[in-house]
Formats: sequence, C-alpha cells, structure tokens
Amino acid sequence: MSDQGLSYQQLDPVGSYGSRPITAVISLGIVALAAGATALSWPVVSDPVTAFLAILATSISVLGITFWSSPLRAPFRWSGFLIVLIFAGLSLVLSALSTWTTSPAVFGQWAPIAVGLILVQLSSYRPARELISTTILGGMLAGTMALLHPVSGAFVLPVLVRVLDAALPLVALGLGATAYSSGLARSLGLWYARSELNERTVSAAMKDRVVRSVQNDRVSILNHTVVPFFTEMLARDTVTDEDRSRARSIAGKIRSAMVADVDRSWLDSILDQLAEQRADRNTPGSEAVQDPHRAASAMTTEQRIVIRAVVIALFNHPGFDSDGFAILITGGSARSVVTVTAKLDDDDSVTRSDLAPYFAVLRIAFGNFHLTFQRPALTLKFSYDHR
Amino acid sequence: MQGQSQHVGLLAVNRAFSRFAHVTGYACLCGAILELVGYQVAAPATLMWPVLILLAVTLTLLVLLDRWRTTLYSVLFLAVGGVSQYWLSVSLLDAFPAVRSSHTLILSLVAVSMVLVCGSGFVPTSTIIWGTIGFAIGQAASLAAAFSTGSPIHFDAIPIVVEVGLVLVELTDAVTRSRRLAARPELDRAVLDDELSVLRYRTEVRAAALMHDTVLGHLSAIAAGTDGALSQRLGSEIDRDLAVLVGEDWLNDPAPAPDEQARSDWRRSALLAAVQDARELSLAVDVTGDPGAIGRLTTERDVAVGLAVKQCLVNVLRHAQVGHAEVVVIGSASDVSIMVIDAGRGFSERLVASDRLGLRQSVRRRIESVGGDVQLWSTPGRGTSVLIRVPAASTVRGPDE
Repeated sequence: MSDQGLSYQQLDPVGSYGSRPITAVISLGIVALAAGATALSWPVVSDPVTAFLAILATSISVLGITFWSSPLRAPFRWSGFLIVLIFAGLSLVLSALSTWTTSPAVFGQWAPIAVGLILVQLSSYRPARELISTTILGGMLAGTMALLHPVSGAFVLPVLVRVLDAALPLVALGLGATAYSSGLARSLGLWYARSELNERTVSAAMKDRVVRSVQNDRVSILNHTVVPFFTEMLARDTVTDEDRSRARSIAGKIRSAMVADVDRSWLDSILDQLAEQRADRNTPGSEAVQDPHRAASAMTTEQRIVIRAVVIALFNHPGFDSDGFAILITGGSARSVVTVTAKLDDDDSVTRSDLAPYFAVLRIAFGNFHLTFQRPALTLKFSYDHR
Repeated sequence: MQGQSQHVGLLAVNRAFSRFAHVTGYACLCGAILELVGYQVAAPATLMWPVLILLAVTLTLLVLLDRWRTTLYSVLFLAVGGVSQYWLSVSLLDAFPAVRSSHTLILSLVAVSMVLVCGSGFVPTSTIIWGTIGFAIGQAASLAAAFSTGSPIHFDAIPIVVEVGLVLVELTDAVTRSRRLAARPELDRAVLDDELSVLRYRTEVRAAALMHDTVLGHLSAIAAGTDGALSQRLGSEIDRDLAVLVGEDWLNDPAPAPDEQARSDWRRSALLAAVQDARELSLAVDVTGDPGAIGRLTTERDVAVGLAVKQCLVNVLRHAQVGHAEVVVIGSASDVSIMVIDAGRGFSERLVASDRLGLRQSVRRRIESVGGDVQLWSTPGRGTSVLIRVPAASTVRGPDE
C-alpha cells in the first residue's frame, strides 16, 4: 500500500495521538457552533424538533470521532468512519429541513461548516483518498439540498450563489483536510525512506564497536579455558586419557553455553539488558518471559521495537512494581497471543497517563489489542501473525 | 537519530497545516470569484469585473505565497486581500443592498482566507499573530465598506468563528505539545537499540558458528582420539585456528575482493574451498549443476555458504558412514540454491540431541543470519539432503525481513 493510502495515525501513531486534544477542542467548537447558530437563527426555524435532531446528529458524529480516535481503539476503523459520516450527513439534511417552510434565502449555514470541521478532525485518522471522496459527496448533498430548498421573498440569491453558499464551507474545509492528510503521508513517507538509508549508515558506524565487544567476550572465554589447554597440547604434542577427559569437559561447557545462547530470544535479551542496566531497581530479567514455542522470533522488526519501547516505558513508570511483571506468549504455529501483566500504582486512568501514546502504537502494530486496568493490575493482551 | 523524528514529525505537521490553510484559502477565493460570477450573470448591468480582477490578483499572490513563503508576499497578500474585501463589499452592497441581510457567504470568503493563509505552518505564536492581523484587516475593510455604502454596521460572524477557532487550536497545540510527544524519543531509542541488538545477534551467531567449526571440532577430535602423539594435521589446524581466534578482527565482515570479477570466479569461491577441504579428508565430492551461479552471491553470503557446506560435508564424514557426497548448485533469478546430498545412513532430526549444534548453529543459523534459509530431508537408512538457499546479490533482503 502506498503512503497516500495510509492515514497519519497509521504512519505516526504517536504524532496522531498528539492530535487528540485538538480533536477534542474542535469537537466542542462544532457542538457550540451548532447550538449557538441554531439559537441565533431561532426566528427562521420552522421545525424545532428537527433543529434539535440536527444538533443531536452533529453531537453523535463528534462523539463518535472522540470515541474512535482513542489510542485504545486505534486505528480509527472504517466502520467508525462510516457511522460518523452517516450522522454528519444526517445533520446536514435535518438542518436544512428545520428551516424548510420558513424559507430563508439559504438554509442554516452552520451544518456545512460543522461537517467540514468534522472532515478536518478526521484528517488525522483516515487517508486522503477517503476524505476527498467524502468531500465530493458531501458537497453534492449540500448543493442538492440548496437547490431543492424553497425560496421566496423580495430578494432571491442567484442559484449558483445559493448552491455555493451551501456547499463551499464543506468543500473548502474538506479539501483542506485532504491536503493535510496527504501532505502528512507524503512527508512521513519521504522521511521513512530517508531514515532507512540513514540506518544503514548508523549501523556501519556502530558495527565496529559491537563486533569488538562480542569478540572480546569470546576471546576472554577462550583465554580462560581453551587457549591454555590447546597451548599445552601443542607444546606436549601427545594426548593422554586426562587430556581426552579435559577436552570432553571443556567441550561440554562451551556447548552448554552455546545452547543457552541459541535458545535465548531477543525478548529475553532485552529484559536481561534492562535488569543489568538498572540493577538498583530490582528489574525483572528474562525469567519474566514465558515463550515455550519461541514465538517471539516471529515478530516483525516494527513489533519488536514497539514491545521494547512499551517494556521500557512500563519500567520507567513511577508506579511500576517489578513483582507483578510477566510476559506470556502463547498460540499456534501461525499466530501468537502476547499477554503482558504488570502492577501499576497509578492514580490517573492509564488511558490518560504517559503510557497512553505507547498503547496507541501497540494498537497499530498488533491486532486485537485489549487493555484492562484494575488498580494496580494492568493487563495488555494483543496478537500477531508470524512473519 | 534520537530526537530527530520528533523534529521531523513536528515539521511534517506544520507543513501539512500550512497545506490545509492554503488549500482552504484557494477554495475560499475561487468560491468568491464563482459567486461573483453568479451575481454578474444574474444582473448583467452591474459592474463586477474590476472586483474579479482584484480577486484574481489576490489569488495569484496566494499562489506565490504558497510557493515562496516570504514576509513580503504575506504583507502583499494581506494588503491586496484587504482592498479586495473592501471593493467586493462595496460593489455588492451598492448593487444588491439586501445582500447584507441574506447571510450569503461571499462577504466573508476573502476575510477567511486572510485569517488562515499567512501564518500557517509556523510556531503557534506566529500563526496567531499573522491570523489576527489578517482578521483585523478583513474586518476593517468590511467596516469601511459599510461606512461607504451607508449599510448597517456589524461584524461578520464567520471570520470571527475562524479566528477564534484558529487561536484555540494553536493555544491547545502549544500547551499540550511537549507532553503529547514525550513518547517519541523513547521510540527512537527503541529503534536504535533494536538495530544494535540485531547487529549483536548476527555477530554472536557468526562467532558461535566459528567456535563450533574450530574449537569444538578440535576438542571433539581430541576427545575421540587415542593415546599417543597429537596428529600433525590436527596440531597444525589447532595452531592456525588459535592464531585466528585470539587475533584481531575475526568477526569482521570478510573484506570484499579487490576484483569482483575474480571473486565471482567459481574457482575462488568459499564453496569450492569447502569441497576441497572435504576431499582432503578423503570424502569424494561431486559438484554438479551450475557452480558459476555462486559468483552471484555477495562476499558475506559466499563465505557463509562455504562454511555451512563445509559443516554439511563434515557431518557426512562423521555420521553418514559413506565416502561419497554430491553438491548441486542451482541459480535462479533471485536465489542461489546449494544442495548437499549423501546416500548414507540418514537420521531423524527429532532424535538429534539438543546439545548437537552443528546443523542448528553452523548451518541453519549461519545461513539465516545472511538472509537465507535451510531445508533438510533425511530418512534413516536412505540418506540425507540439505538444501541451502540464499538471495542473489541483486536481491535486497535482510535477515529480519
């Protein structure tokens, strides 16, 4: 799928999570606009019930956006998008009907603006091609309602002006929203393409340090056991029973160490590294991981990165209690389920805490994400297909 | 790279917001032109074309501002936009006095574009300042037009709503930005750490495979030998491998051949070296298929394939109880496959002790670490076939993909 087919939320979950306060402010603004404009134009409202229903439909639409843009429900799904649009379209129609028989020159102007702002809200969560399609359909609906709307009075606006008055706010904001979404997808797509190249450069610069570190580890093991034995053998040039027994013993030790290394997953390594780095904080090591089928190795690079970041964020949380921490990976040969349990002494709702952006990223990187928090027990459950 | 993506993310959002504001501005100005055309068509006697020209100039300035975001173009846009707003209002109110009470959008469109366009995509304070200046000029132009035409004076609601909305959104952004994006540096760090982990893992795999091929092999040979003099061949191999293992840079990538054509020559490949080593150990090895395809491997993969095949042939010598093996090389557009076949006693992989590392470490992991894969077919009593497949040099594929 091209970057243009992806939403900002899919390309940058943390960044789009950052849009939520703005989404909330616009939501409040839309409801205030609907209520305020209806109140101000009350003299031309012919059907108060329909006017009220129009405000209600708008409110449901923005509530839907607030609900589905939560990091716990990411990515913003097509079904949610559709429901939001249905109620937005309904508000457009109901708003026009509410002034139908009193026949002002144009129907209430707040609904096309409100629907346009709803599209602006959606621009962080849905891809550009859906926004442009919706803008065209919304513009056509608003224009059609304006054409059908009865007009009377001494001064009648030209037809083109009436159609544009009805459709333009929605179309202008919808086009703006499309430009916002596609601009973000393009910029982030370019950045990712460049960063892939940069990563190779970074790896090359760090490679020497890593290789030297591994080599030093191995050489120190060899110097301790193998080198003295081989040197002695070469000097003596004969093999005895005792040498054979010593060779078996050294080989057994080396083999055991190698088997342990081979059986360690990247997840074990992360936890052991963290435990080593934070020795003073009783951080759990690889013993907290239960992965009987070695399914951790079947995660993608992106999934590994997200798990690593989430584990570190949990460990850094001031209310984290290492006693209750465990990672369990279960499942079959094609799909696994990860259950992370932790004790978290947090007064705040975890969905509003500093951990919330990580949950947004988890939701995007894995399927079927479920979070339960009954203070202090936090459980994260998610699944993935094996790569 | 740490912190860089945070900067890039903010930059991308600022740019995208700028696109939003400019595209909305284009739509407003184009809409104003179309509406004016609508009035002109409805009342051909009215004189609207001078206003149309002014709007076209305003639109052109927006195009320039969109391409080159300079203060000069911003000032020019606001100035010309203010004049457009004034003349548009005066012309319409003169020709159609009832327009004022009709709630038509046309009196607001230029003013809205002036609020949105100039400061978009900068830091919140700049956006608010430019937006407020644009708003003030637009409102001043509307008021001046109302004075000129003797129309009732009132502020346009829509530009007010846009200005208030812009200020609220920018203030929310400024207040919450740092907390909202706190997770990003941690994710950047995780990316780097993961990259380093993969690098370390691959290096450890290579180290383990080399340890297996050298140290463990020699220890096993000593343990399985008899009393008496150390064999000359084993002694010289131990001597050579010790010098390599405690020496410098044995884990570094093999240096690329100075002459790539020479390296691609089958006769210089690590695979042929492995075959010759096995022949020296009295194993008859036939090489068939397309050995030249080996030349399409990178140096790193060539070395990994050579060492893996060497281990396969060592396994034939030690366990298959036959004196003959066949190595088949097959090249396709994307891969090079090497099959090592013997007609020995075979084995069941399930029954191989978990501490036997030859196939796991020296063959499977080694090949996986260079982006390839290994398949094995063996039936007790009927022989063993090991298929090693690695991407050709032109195929970009890493071990983690």
